[in-house]
Amino acid sequence: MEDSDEGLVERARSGDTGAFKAMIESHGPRLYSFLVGRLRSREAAEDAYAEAWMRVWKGLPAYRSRGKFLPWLFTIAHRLSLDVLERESRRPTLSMDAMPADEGLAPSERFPSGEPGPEREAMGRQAAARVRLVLDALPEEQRQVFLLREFGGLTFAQIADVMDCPLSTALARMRYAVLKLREELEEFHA
Amino acid sequence: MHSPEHEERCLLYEAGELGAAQAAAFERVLAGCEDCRAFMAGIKESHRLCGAARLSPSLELDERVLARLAPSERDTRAGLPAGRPWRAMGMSLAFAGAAALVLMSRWDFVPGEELEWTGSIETRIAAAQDEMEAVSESVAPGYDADIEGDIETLERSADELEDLWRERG
Repeated sequence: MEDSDEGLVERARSGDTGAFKAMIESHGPRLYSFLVGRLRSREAAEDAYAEAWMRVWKGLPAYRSRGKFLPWLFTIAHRLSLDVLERESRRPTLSMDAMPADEGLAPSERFPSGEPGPEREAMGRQAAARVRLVLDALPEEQRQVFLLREFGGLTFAQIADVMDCPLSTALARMRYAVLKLREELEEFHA
Repeated sequence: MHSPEHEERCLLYEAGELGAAQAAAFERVLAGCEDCRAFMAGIKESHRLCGAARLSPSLELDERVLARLAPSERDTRAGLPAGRPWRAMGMSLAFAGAAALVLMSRWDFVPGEELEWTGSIETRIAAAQDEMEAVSESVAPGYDADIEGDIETLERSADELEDLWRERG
């Protein structure tokens, strides 16, 4: 986390909801993408998203680790997603497999394309949908590491810490995930 | 010679997690390893494709989160710590009142004995209060009652205490 963000955290700690809103705007897309990837259900991800931010808000007075806000946020999100998955394992889940790529998405949720133009945009949406399908098919541990790295922006040392595994294990899981994505998404490579 | 270890080095290098000396050494490896460069390109492609797959929460969802902060914000504006500490203080006072009530009802009052029992009853009130708080925390951790409810309990206890004093006095 940048030093300027640390200022927001400090202000939010003292109850400044404006600063907290700025934090949500800054890190919300990362967190939301991570949770959608982890839970594979838009509805479950939305509930978990709201709950994660509430836990952050309540936990801020005790937050002391300067410069480690993102790992803290994603540790909360990771644990929350484990709880949700544990609960969900007892009943049928909504898989992203069954969710058409763009159906029901609000305009703000549409995938950004690199450049304007309908073809480019369609290509971007298609690639995004494929990425999610490939991620969905990854083994659980590989997907966790990949999402924490790509959407959480955590270092591998932080990921190993969050997942309570050796650094070499986190690296190996990421390596397999990258190889799988490369293999499955070759047609979309720039 | 390409190996899984090289690919893991690629990951650490790309994430900026290698020290300066290690990074320089790896750059030399990279220059002579085509497969390493291909893997590195795969990492960058993952970033690009995941950037395209990133989702944004709806504005309504963010507003829902912010709306849930409102009660805590009210506590903070009053110059008091948010949420639990203020509630806990109200609960403690209510418990103290209730404990005093219980002890008073069991005590056979004799005028002129105040100085003898004051220290003892304070200790017992404090112990009862600690016990009630511990029970409350174990029975309902995270219990989120409204502060008004605590205050009402406290006021009720105070009224009952006053009535008891009147009856005995």
